[in-house]
Amino acid sequence: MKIRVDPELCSGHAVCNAQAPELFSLDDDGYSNIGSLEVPPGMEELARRGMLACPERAITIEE
Amino acid sequence: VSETLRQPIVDFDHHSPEFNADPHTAWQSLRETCPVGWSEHYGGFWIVADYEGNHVALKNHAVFTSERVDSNSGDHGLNIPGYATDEDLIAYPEEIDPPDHWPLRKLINARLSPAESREMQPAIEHWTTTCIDAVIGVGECDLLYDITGPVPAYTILDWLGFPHDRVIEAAEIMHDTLGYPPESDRYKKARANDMIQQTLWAACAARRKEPRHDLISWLMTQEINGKPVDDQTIVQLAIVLVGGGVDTTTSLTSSALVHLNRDRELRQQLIDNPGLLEPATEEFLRVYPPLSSIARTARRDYVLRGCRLHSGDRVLVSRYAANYDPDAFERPEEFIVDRFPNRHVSFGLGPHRCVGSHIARLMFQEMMGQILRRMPDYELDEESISTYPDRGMVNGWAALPARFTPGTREGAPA
Repeated sequence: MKIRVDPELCSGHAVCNAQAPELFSLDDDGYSNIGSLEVPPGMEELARRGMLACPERAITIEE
Repeated sequence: VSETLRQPIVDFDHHSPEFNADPHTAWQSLRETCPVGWSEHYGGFWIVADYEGNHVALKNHAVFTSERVDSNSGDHGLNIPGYATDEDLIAYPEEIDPPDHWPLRKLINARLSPAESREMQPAIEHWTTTCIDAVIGVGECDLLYDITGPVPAYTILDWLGFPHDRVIEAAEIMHDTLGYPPESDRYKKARANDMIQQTLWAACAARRKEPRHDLISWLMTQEINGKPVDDQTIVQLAIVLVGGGVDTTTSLTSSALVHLNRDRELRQQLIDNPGLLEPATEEFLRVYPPLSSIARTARRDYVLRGCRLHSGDRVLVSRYAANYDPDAFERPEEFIVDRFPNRHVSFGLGPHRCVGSHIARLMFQEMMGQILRRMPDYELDEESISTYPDRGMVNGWAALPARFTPGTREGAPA
């Protein structure tokens, strides 16, 4: 599973980080800095929660 | 396929007594009947009252600008009617669109990120403890005037570098500007009072001579596009932080306290399980968005929900109506304490997302946590509580008298 955060859409709500800080890291301004990331095994549910929490719909998941 | 363009006319005035008698029903019926409609009030404006419409209008600054452009109603600004006059300084970065918005926004982001906001937790705890200590022995207070009003005001303005002895006066000016109708004496008097701006200019002059550990002093060490930040820019940034800081978390926390006066089962749940407060924060935000509407101006013709918006048209975007949109939220009328996902738009969307959202959540949780722990049996006098007379923009409260079993002070002696 791969997650991708669209930097054009991310507006720094940081709710992905609140759901799963170990997966969704932030830069010094509080915006997502992951770009795209391979989800480590066992963390798929956390990745989904982060995606669903984003009000900007900036996060996509590729299974 | 050609689309038939619509212009549903609605008799909608968010500052009218009819609206303010029941804003919830007014926003709901607007969304159900339109969801995009045209009102002839205030020189004419569109209202966007659904969730998807919020996404379109708030994320597309190329069409829906926050800047003070010429409009068809002669009006501009982030509310309708717009209260900013040409003499008023432009609010930074609120009234600037990307890309110029970004260097200004980046400065404030750096100081209000989730990590930086958590650094302010001791100050939040201090002000909450201090304000509750002042009334805890008495057994009665006004939860608005004694706690939910002053805690955010002292926390934010102290961090900013605003003098302590002017904090309450500044908060009252913001309450009167945001909570009273534009034709009322209270509103006019508050609008004519330039104390906040004068105080910010004076604070800048003082910090140039003698820097302190506050935001104004820090901004003086920063650069925008390679140039040092000047006093006027600091005042323009600070005005937004004063406005955003003093009336919004206050309104949210006050609404939550009223909610828990009426839902004792939920109050007990939150007392028994303080961990529930975190997810509950999002549901309180959805159900009681402090800023219920915000205005934009169309920069060019645009078709939204089958309606032709013309270049220069004013547009009022209702976050409140979006948060109750059944297309975005299951059972939107129900308060579901751990609702997930909960993609409410109470902090806005797009580049102008509320910069203080992280500290707002922390202040809300600290105030609610301490009130539920120290005044668990608080009882609002439902006959005497009152909302803002004007809830077209801010969904706020004017009085929250309460009684509770007296307790003991927890902070350092006064």
